[in-house]
Amino acid sequence: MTKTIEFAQHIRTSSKARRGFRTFKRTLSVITDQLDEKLGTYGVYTPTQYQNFQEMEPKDYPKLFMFYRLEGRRVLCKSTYEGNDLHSYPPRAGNYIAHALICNIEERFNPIEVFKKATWKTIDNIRDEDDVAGVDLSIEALRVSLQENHEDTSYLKVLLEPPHEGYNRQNMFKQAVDAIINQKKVIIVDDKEMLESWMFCLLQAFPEEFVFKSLNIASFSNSNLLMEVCNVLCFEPENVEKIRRHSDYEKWEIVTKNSARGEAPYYARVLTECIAEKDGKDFAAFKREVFKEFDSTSTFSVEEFNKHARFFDELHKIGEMSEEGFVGFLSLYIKEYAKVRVIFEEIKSKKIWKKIMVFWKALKGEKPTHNLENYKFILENYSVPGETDQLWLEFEKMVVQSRDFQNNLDTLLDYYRLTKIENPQRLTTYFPKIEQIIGLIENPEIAKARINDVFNTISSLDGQSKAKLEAQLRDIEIIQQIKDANGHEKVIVLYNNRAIFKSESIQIEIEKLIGRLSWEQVFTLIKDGKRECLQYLIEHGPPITFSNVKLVSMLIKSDYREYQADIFELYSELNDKNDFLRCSPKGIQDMIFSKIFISTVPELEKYLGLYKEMIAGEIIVKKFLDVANHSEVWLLCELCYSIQNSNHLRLSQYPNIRNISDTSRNLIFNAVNDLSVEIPERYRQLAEWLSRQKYIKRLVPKSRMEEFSYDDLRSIGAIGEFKDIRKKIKGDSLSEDDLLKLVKLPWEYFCWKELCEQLSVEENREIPNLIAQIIEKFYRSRDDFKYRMWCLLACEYITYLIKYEKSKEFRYCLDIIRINWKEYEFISNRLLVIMYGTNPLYENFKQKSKGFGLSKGPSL
Amino acid sequence: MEPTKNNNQEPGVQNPLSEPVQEAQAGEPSRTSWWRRLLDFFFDNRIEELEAVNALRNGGNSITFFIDRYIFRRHCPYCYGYVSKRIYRERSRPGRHSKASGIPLHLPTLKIYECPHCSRELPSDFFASMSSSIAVIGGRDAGKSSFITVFCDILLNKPSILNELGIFGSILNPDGAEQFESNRWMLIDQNTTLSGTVEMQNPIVVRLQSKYHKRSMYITLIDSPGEHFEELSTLIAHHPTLQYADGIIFLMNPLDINGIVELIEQENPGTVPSRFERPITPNFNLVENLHKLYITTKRIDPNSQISVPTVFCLSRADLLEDVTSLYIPQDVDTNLAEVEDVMEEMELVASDLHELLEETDMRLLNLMAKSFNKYKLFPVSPLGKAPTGQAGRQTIIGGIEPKGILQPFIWLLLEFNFIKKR
Repeated sequence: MTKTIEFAQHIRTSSKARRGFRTFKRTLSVITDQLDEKLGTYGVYTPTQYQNFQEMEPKDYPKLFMFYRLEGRRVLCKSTYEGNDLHSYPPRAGNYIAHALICNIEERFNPIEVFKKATWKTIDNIRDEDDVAGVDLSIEALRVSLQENHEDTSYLKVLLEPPHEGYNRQNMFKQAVDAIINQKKVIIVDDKEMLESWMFCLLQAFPEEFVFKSLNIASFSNSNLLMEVCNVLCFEPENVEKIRRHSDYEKWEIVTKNSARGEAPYYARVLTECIAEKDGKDFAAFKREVFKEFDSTSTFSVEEFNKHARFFDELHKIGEMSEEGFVGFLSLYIKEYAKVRVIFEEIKSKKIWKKIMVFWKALKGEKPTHNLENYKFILENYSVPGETDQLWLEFEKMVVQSRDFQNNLDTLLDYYRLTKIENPQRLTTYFPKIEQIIGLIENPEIAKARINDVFNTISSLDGQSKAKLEAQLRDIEIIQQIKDANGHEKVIVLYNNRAIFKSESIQIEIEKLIGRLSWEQVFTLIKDGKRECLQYLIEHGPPITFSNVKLVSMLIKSDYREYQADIFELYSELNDKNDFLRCSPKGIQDMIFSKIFISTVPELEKYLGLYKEMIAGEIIVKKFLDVANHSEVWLLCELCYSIQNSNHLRLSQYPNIRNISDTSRNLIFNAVNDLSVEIPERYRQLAEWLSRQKYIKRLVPKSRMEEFSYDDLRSIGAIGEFKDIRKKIKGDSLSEDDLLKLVKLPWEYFCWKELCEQLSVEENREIPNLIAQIIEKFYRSRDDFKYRMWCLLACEYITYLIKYEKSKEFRYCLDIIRINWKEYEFISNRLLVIMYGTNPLYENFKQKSKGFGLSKGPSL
Repeated sequence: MEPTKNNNQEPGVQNPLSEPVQEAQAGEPSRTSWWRRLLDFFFDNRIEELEAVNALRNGGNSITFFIDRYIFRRHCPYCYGYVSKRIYRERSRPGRHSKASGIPLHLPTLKIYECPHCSRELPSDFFASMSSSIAVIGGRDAGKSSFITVFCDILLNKPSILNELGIFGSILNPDGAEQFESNRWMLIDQNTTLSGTVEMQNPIVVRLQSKYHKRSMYITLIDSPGEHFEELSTLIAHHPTLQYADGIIFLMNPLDINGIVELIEQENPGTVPSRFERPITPNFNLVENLHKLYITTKRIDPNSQISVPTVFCLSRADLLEDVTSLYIPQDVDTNLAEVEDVMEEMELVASDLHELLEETDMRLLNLMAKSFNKYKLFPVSPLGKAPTGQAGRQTIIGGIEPKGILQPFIWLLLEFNFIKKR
């Protein structure tokens, strides 16, 4: 399998075409100016000043390979020293070619293969392409074909040869690997020939995903520049001194031949041993076994690395492990089924059966998190009757008890079938679970089938358990009977089979089976003489069974009539009074009616609604008329009048009043027939109407406002004349004569309003004075009619002032015209009729004490 | 330029734009410094509102801020960024215990002066002395690295005219010293030409002192790839503070001047490859870029001249010795001892070179006169001879014989008033 990856290219070197060290070519579509600058900066090759530099050829200089992440892209760069540059005269040393390949960060490949297979630019290529006249800057992306599973371990051997020249590279490698998996930054110091191997070795030493996520590495460096992008840098001993002064230097872990360390943890040690083929270990196997454990979801913690490496290392040694050692080893992987399986395969292949016993013991210490069937293979492969039975039983018990089977009896029975061990102890493990699951099955047919399954699977079922299951089946059938019964019969069946209910869950059971009993069912049961059923429900059932338990418990008493007061009290608290009354026997209904108290029309309306199905309408009306006050009765009269005249608007508030019978209506009209019944002002017209229709025979006093109505006023055209009122007023001020001429009967408060709006402020101030003068005049002249008329007009004027909140004028007016209590009452009655809301002046007016007293002068 | 930015500007100070720049011409050396400061004061409102500047502003009252910021202003010798005496870090000394009682002795903390831009520690006496930074710039292959290396070597190791003038110096920063040592080993010990510079080198900070006065002077020699100067955008990106340098040494490759190449070709045919085989970067472009940098960074007005003393050095002048009658003075083993003699020689050499350029590249000369207020021309030859190619490495047979290296520096030191005429 091959795959092809496309890499954008970036080449920086010295050229005549670019006149110096500049980007020679780049893939323009991918590499922006900014990226170009950075790639150029990091790719710079600064040669080391070797003591014997004069004898050295450019190819003797170490190559700089880089594998790093830059601005969300992956960069592979090869930078080589090339000796003399191409653009200077005379040519100068220091030339290099930095050729970078850039691809998407998501691409995955073997970087070493790319380093080997990619077509890297050489100085000859550059020389051929270079021209003083100029060269095209753009270059196409490079396509590299790669094999899926490319293996190249040639570098590993070079690095990990036995120690010589003071270098123990195996130890250095361990230190470096351990530091890298600990997410530290690492500087490796080694001879220039070894740097390349270090880089390639480290690129192979970790899982691919880790390499691409966490490893940014450069094979050669001699300044602190690459510290910005790489976390692993390789240095020659000559260059280390240069970067010691760098402020970040302290944060890096330095791996040199002198940096001795203690024994490395598992990953580094095992990896090194595998590469060095110590004790027959194989790096290919390590890669296969350990690397596969890591994928893009891994956390790459150091513990994870060490755990997997330890597993790889110690799996083959379990035969020699002590019991404690094996338990410790096993406990690390006990949560991973696949690994446990591998351990067992190992035990099986090496036939180290005694480890099985240790395994069982180790398992007991752990909380089982697996399905039991995962361990079935153990029994299949290993059966020593009598030796492992007891361990299996214990383990089985632990698993079965801790697991929630969620009513899945099949799984439970499958567990049982996993082994054929015959032991009564197993029954105690399984039977409670079986009982529990069957208890939850609601369908009796299924339950029956399930119980038969159990009988078939567990042959060793003892008599007691069998009886238990059969009893359970019976119970299920009875419950089905209860469910199938209708209405109150349910209760009877339940009562007859009450023995099957256990006291601890009885309430829930009853709630599930019966739900709430309607009053109809309750009264049917009482009628049928099944009081003991109800008593049973009251005692054992949940509170929800009855809408009022106390009431039911009183009703079932044979002498319930003695508790009339209590029953009525409980009845009045009921939410479903209607149901109760409808279903209750006549005796109880009468008892309730005798107790109710209705004083307002809304209440009456409510009761009429309640009892409209019954004949109780007149009784209710009578009860109302007995206690209601006059205004309420008048209101009712008005509603009756509305019925008569089909005034639906008025009746919409009281829909049940419409059903009032003729008899009841007569009752109501009779109630106001009495002379002692006061007629409020607002009902005066109604009373007159009733009188005219001969519904009542009493005398109805005449209304004071009878003669004046708005329509009359309009008909005489008084308001129309206000339009040119200013013309009528001689001079600039309103005189007594003007007022006398203008104001005619009927003259209500709104006429005053019209007049005052037409007048100027000064004239408005004049009005109270004028009125006072006119009243005085007519009083003196003993013209009684006109005097009374003007008193009335004065009251209307004050009404106008209050209604339209003319506070200033009002106070001024009261200073001049003093009113007596009679007039005060008149005004307040007028205001009662005409005021829809209220205002501060009106509130003030209603408090009689404030500023009102008996008039000194003439009064009405 | 935004004069309103400076909130601490004294009332009554006129808008500097209204004043003609030509007024700020060099007069007496003692006045030069004063004019320069005044010009900087007016023309440098560009300094970024960095944290350090804010800290400075918050640290004291507005008068002290004004004095620090505009009168006693200093630039970092490493990056030319703005530094102040009042921006420092306190470092406690390691605790000690008195021998008798074991009671710890609390010593006063140390003040460490640091550049807020590049975070490098400044020399302890930095604020007590005069400080000037000199940037060595030039196109690629102009010999900047060699020039700096040879200058430091003469200063540190060789008897020269500087010794006669009572001037001595040392490299302050370890990075710079290491850089110098590495190049010196290659160039002087191994007699091999230096590799092309491909990345920014550590700056070399040199402290110069004189036995005749108390002042010391810091000069920063910055070596960077010549490619940086060829495009304005690259120049700004890599040298964001170059325009704050107090002096400029501009090295020119003679092979980039066609007239000179032709002269050499006439005299010694075949020594220099033809222009079709070798890319040329006209020095004109580099000088123009430098001028543009000053304008872009609002250091000067578009129509005005750069007032920083600038030396244009024709590098590899040894190539021309045979061709023309160009005289390049020796740096070591010279018999000159007086400043006046040196000045006289400088004038001579400069006028020679001026004549040569008049013949070969008049356009460049005109640009220099247009863009620079104070400049001088010198021929230099750090190696003293042409290297010969051997197996990929150019070696200098018989070792280097530097010529004319010190003259540009002496001229600059005269401009900075560090060397006084008697």
